Amino acid sequence: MSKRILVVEDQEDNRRIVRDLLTSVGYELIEAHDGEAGVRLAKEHRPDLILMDIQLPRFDGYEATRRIKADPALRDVPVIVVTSYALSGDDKKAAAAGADAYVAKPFSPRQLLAKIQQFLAPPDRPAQS
Amino acid sequence: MRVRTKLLAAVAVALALLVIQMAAVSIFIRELQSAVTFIGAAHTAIETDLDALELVGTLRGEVKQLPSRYVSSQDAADPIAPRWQQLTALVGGIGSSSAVRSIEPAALDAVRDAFARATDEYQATAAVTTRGPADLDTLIERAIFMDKALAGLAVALSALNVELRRQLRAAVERERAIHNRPIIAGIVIGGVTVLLLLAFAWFYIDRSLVARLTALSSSMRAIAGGNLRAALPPATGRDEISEMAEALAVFRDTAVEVEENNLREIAQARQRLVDAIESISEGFALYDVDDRLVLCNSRYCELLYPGMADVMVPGTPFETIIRRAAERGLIESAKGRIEQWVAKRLRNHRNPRGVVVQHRSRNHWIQISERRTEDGGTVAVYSDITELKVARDEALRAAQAKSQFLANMSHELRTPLNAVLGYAELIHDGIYGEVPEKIGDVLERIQQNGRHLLGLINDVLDLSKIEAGQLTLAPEDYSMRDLVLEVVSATESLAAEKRLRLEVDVPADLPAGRGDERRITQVLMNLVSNAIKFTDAGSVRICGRVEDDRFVVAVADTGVGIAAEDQAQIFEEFQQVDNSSTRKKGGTGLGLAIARRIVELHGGRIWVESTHGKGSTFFFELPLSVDGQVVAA
Repeated sequence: MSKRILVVEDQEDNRRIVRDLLTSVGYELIEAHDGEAGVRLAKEHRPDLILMDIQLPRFDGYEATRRIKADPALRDVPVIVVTSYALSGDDKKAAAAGADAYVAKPFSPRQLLAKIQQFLAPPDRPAQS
Repeated sequence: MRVRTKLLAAVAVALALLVIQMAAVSIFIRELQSAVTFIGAAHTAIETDLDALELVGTLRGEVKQLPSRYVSSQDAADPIAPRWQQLTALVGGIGSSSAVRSIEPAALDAVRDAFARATDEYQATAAVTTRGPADLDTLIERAIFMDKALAGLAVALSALNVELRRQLRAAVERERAIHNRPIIAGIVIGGVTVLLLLAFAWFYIDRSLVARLTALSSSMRAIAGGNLRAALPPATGRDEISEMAEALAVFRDTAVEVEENNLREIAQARQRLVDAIESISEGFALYDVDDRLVLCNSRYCELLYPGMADVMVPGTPFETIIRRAAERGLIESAKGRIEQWVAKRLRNHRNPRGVVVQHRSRNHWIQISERRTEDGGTVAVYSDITELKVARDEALRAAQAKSQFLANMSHELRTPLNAVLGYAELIHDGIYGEVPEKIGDVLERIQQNGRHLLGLINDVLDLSKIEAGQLTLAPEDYSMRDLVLEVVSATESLAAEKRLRLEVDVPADLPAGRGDERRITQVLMNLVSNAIKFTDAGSVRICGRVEDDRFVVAVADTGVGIAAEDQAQIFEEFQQVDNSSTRKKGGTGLGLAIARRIVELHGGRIWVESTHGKGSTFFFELPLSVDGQVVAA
C-alpha cells in the first residue's frame, strides 16, 4: 500500500505541481482546499504525512496544524509546513504550532521531495527507474 | 546750629552770667567802700563839730570874762585870739569835709554864716581891746555881741551835728544793707545760673541730644530690622544729629526705593512667569515637596479638573485632587476601581518615569509628563493628545493596512511565480515526459529569469518595508559563530561549484549577541554570496571578532575588487558597479542597500575596503546587544 500524503493547499497550481510531483513518484494524495477541510480529511483518512500551506481560507495552516497535533490519533503524523517566506518568521510560528518541518517558498519540487523523503520511506512503486 | 556751636553758646551764656555776677559784686564792693568812706568822714566831721562846739563854749566863757579882765588888769595878753584861730581851723575842717559838703550843704552854709558873723564880732572886739584900755560899757557891749554871735554859731554847729548824726545813722543802715546785698545777689544769681545750666542741660542735652539720638537709634534699629516704614525723627536744625537723621532718611528712602524696585521686579518676573505658564496650551501644575498644589494654570484647572474650583487652590494635596477627579468620573481608567487607580497614579507621581497617558472622560487622552524639581517638588505638564492619539491610531491603522497590503502583495506576486517555476522544474525533470535538449535549455533560462524576478520581488518588498518603517527588529539572543557557520553551510555548494575555498576564522569564545538574528543572517548571506559571485578564483574568507563591545565581521574575497570612486555608491539602491553583470551574476542590486539598512537599524555600520582587481573586504560592525530599533529607517 502506497503512502498517503494529505496536501492542504488553496492554490490550484500549487496543488497540481505537488500532485504531479508526488504521484509521479508513487505517493497517494489526498487534497484539501482549506484549513477546516484539511483537519477533517486528516481525521478521516489518517494520512502518513501532511503538507500544510499557511495562507488558507477559513483558518490558516498554523491553526490547522495545532488542531491536528491536538488530536492524539494524529499526533505522530508528520506535518511539513510550507511557509511563504523564510525571513518572515513563519518557521518559528510553524514550530510553535507543532509542525515537524517547514519548507520555505519558493520551493523547488526537488527540495520538497527531499524533505518529504526525510519522513517517509521511498514509495513502494518508484516512478523513476 | 552745630552741636559744638550750641555747646560754645552754652559756655558763653555761663561765662556771661559769671561776668554779670562779678560786675554786680564789684559794684556792691564799690558802694560798700563809698559807704564806709562816708561813715568815716561823717564820724570825723561829727568829732570836729563837737570839738568846735566845745571851743565855742570855752570862748563864750572867755568872752563873759572879757570886761572884767580888761577893767581889772591892763594885761595885754589876749586869751581869745589863739582859741579863735583854733576855732577857725575846726570850722574850716568841717567845711572841707567831703561828707559834710556832699550831704548837708544847707547846715554847712548855716555854720559858715554863723562863723562869719562871729568872726565879724570878734574882729570888732579885738579892735577895741588892742587899742588899750577901754571903757567898761564898750567892753560889755562887745562881750554881749560876741556871745550872741557865738551862741548862733553853737546853734548852727549843733544843728549840723544833729544832721550829721542822722546821716551817719542812715549811712550805717545803708552800709549794713549793702553788706547784706552781695550774699542775696550771689545766691540769687548763682541759683539762677545753676537753674539755667540745669535747664540748658535738660533741654539741650536730654531733649535735643539724647532724645534725638535715642529716636534716631531706634529708627536705625527698626530699619536694620527690616521695617523700612519706621518713622524717622524730624530733622530739626542743622546739627550733626539732624545730618544723621537726613542721611538716615536718604538711606531709608534709597532702601525703600531699592526694595520697591526689587518688589516691582519680583512682581513683574512673577507676573511674566504666571503669564507664560497661563499662555501655554498645556495644563501646568507645580506641587511642593509635601505634594501640595503650589500653582497651576487655568487650563490645568478648567480643562482637566472642571467643576472642582473649590479644591483647585494652592495647598490642596495632589491625592485629594486626583481622588476627587476619579470620584467625579473624569478619569475613564479609574471607573469602578478608584482606590487601585489612585494608588497607581500616586506611585507614578511620586516616582515619575517618562510620560503617562491617561484616558479621561468623553474619550479624551491626556499625556502627563512629571518631573522632580530640585527642591523635591513635582512639575506636571498635561497635554491633550486626543487629536494626536486619534491621528496616531489612524496612522497605525494605515500602517497596518499598508503592512497587510505589502504582505498580500508579496504573496500575490510570488504565488503565480512559484507556480511558473514549479511547472518549469517539473517539465525540466521529465515528470511530464521526455524533454528535448533544446527545450531543456530554454526551461533553464525560464527558471533563471523566474528566480531572478522572485529575488527582485523579495528585495523590493524588503526595501519598501524598511522605507515605510515597517521593518522592525525582532531581537533575540544569538551566537555569532553559529550564525556564520549557518551562512557557510548554506553557501558551501555555491563556492564548491566555482572551486573557491571558503574559509572561516571565528573564535569559539565569542560572546553571545542580541539582535535580529534572521536579519543579520540575511546581511552576512548577502555579503558571502556576493563574494562568491564576484570571485572567479581564490578564496572567500569570513572573520568574526569583538572590538569595544561590538562584533566586527569581515568577508574578504580575491575577486575583481571595486574602484575607490564606486565604493561609496554600492550601498545605494540599484548601484551594482557593473550593471550588466547584475543579471549575469543573479543579483538584484538591492542586497547591499538592504544590508546597510539592516545594519543601521541595529546601530551598526557597514563599509568596504577594496583595491580594484585585487579583491574586496566587506565589513560590518554591530553592538553586542541591541534591544530595539536604534535608527529609524
